[in-house]
Amino acid sequence: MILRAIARSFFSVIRFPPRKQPSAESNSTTDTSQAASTPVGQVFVADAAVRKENQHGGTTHSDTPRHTCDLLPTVADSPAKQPITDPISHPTPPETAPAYASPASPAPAASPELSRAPESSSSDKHIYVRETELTSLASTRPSSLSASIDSAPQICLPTSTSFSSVVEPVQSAPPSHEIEIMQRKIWVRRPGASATLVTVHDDDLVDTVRDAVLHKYANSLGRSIDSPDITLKICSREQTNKNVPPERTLGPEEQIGRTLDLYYAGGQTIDEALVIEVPQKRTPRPSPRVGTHHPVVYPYYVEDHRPGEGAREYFPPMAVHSPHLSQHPAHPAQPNGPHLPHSMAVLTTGQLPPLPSPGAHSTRKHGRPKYVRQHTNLNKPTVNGIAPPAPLPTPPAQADHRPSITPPNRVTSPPPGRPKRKKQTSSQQQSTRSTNGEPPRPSKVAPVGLLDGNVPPINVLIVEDNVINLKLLEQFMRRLKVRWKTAMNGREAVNTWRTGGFHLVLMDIQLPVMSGLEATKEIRRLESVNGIGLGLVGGQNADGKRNGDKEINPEDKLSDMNLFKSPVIIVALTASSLQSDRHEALAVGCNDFLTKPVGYPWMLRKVTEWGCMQALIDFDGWRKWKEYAAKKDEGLSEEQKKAKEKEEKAKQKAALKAMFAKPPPGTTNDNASNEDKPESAGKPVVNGTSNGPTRGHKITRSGSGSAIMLETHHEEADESN
Amino acid sequence: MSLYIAHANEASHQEFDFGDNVDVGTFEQILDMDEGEEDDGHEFSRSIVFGFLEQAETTFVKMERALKENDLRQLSELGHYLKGSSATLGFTKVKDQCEKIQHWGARKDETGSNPETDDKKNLKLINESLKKVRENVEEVNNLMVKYYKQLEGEE
Repeated sequence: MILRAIARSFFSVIRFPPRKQPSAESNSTTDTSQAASTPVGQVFVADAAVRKENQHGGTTHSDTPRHTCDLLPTVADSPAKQPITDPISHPTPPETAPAYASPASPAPAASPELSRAPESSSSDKHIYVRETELTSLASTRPSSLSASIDSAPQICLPTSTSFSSVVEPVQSAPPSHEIEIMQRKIWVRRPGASATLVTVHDDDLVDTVRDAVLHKYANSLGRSIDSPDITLKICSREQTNKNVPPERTLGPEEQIGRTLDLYYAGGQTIDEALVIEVPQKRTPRPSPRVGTHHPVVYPYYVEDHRPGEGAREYFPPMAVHSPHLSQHPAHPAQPNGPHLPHSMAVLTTGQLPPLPSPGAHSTRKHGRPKYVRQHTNLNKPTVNGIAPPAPLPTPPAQADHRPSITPPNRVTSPPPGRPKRKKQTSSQQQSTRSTNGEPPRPSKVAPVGLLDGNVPPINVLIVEDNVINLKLLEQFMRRLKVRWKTAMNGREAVNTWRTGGFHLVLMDIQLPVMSGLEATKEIRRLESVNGIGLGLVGGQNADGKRNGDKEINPEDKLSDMNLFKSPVIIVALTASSLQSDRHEALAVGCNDFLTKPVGYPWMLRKVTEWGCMQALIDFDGWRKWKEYAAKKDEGLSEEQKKAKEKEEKAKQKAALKAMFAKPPPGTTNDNASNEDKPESAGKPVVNGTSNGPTRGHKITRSGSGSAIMLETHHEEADESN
Repeated sequence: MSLYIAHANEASHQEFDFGDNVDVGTFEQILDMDEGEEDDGHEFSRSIVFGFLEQAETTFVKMERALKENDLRQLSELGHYLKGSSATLGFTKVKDQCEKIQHWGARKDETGSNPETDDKKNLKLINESLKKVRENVEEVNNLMVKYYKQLEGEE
């Protein structure tokens, strides 16, 4: 049994080559549970040796059943028996991802990551399995041993064995590779919350643990406090240490490993998790993402989880999923440097660095990929959706001085009812210019975008007092094959909107009776009062009556809440190209604007984009609306319908924010990086929901849509000739 | 400068010179909206063009009345109104004059950026501008009549 236990716990520290992961994992699952329930102080593994051994003979260990019954010596011998695989031939494939899915899993036993030894020395030379007598060694071990050398592959001990593993290299090892550090995992928890593991080095100070904690709680804590503000409390087991107070605060200077061993002989269990306490007072703003007091720049999760495009530069797959590479030995020399030596070391040695287990997630060490990513981000600021922040809902539109969205590519999906006429290029450019009030932009061929010209069947309210313009806009709608209604002044607009079912309002600003701005305000106010768009995402508000019990002024109450699934999108039609007018329009609650005279390509683009967004926001409502629309199909083609009135304030931002609060599955990363930007409310969510990178896309693509159109027309002309 | 509309139409590659009265690109968009492949293929643009011309006429009448009443505000609104539709159609000259009328009516200078409190001056400028804009509209009218005649001839 003891042997089994040894073997099992041994397993739990062995990293298997990724391709063997399934078997290893299934095996470890049982091991873990067992280990957790019985903290076994008698299991001791010379982890350095194991690591070594594992690095080179990783494949042999994948033979799970054998090791379950074999003893350690066998394990140690195995590499000698098996051909040593080239370390480089073990790139950590993306399959490592599953392991990261549960970083807090108590025993990352089946860590799929392959430890890569920088140097393939004789693999079994450091295998030493010590039994109980090593406990004492643990505390006497010179702390310098592991002080700053992180080159070793990280071993994740099952928590139950806490400090039961000791490295005891016998031969004087080459300093760069052979001196290894013990890692240990520590249970921590916030008061009342479930415990989680953080990984530190055995001889790390409590201060370092705080760093790791902050890393772990990168969102709830990391954004608002610094690690020195964290207090860690330890509770003693009464029976073991009577001379220690039942609960005390750990001093930052204490060695965590020692303290834990003192308190929890045999290992810390999950119930003995250190309690994290944070001061109530919070720093006003999220702490900048610089390092803590620790010389190492401390990477936060926000960065960790961005898609790692740049990471491919050196280590393709592992970069994305293994953010916690060990530090290279060269690291202490330039703690805040650009970390090029990492890469260089790899390049010169031809060896990939060892990978830690996923359980080492919260280690204070940072991995190379992060920095690669950071560099990449610096170079390509628009990647990962880091668009220039803007305070108002339509940042791209503000960012440049014209409607930001280029007309969609008509090549892929020409609008129905093709014009008979085919136009020459110059005229198209002219139209672009006149639409934007700016000279034609350079022609670039846009890639086929998401918006391929298929306009969702939305319902549009056109608010325009000039019949000529109205006629044209109606013609646009006809061409777009969407339904629409019209209003000739702001009041009429509000009343028509109140009849429900609109997705998009094209709002002229200068209107008689009630201006477009006032009408917008009123619509936003009514939306807010009626709770439209609050909590819509996820279908929580499917019946749309959530606010029904609230006091709503009867005249403000909307008749059929089912027709108001989400805040309507209001696109201001501004005659002037003045920035201030646009800001004003956006400020009162418009989502976007178009400069008059409105050209068809722009209209197509806006209607498509916003229409798609509306469909995405509330698919359920969308479907219901369609049913409703089918019933009500008549009267809709009626142009020029009139109605009633009202006015006030807006709360569109809040509504939109609530609407977008829940990121769609699979885009959490993008959202994580987006959420702290002001523009997360409002239009960019189109991108958030449909495609993260589009924002940058959109900006860079500005103007290309018309270019496409030009080409299209050319082609048409050629064909027809 | 002369701007041309070239029709890459099946049979004819005719060009029509609108001079600088019409912003061809904008006007093209109106023409683009014409639906008909068969019968009268230009009904929409025709209706919108001549609709505008009618609208301009009625607006001018209103403007003259407002001028008599020294109603600057009304003049400004009318200027804005006609500006909107003329801009939509790309009738640039008309649009420019209307914009000025709008500004003067709002007691600003012709660029709209500085206040101009001399109402007499504003009214006088509007009066002059109104004459010009009438001429412009007349010009556009002639061009359009000609243009659509030509289109019909094609068909």
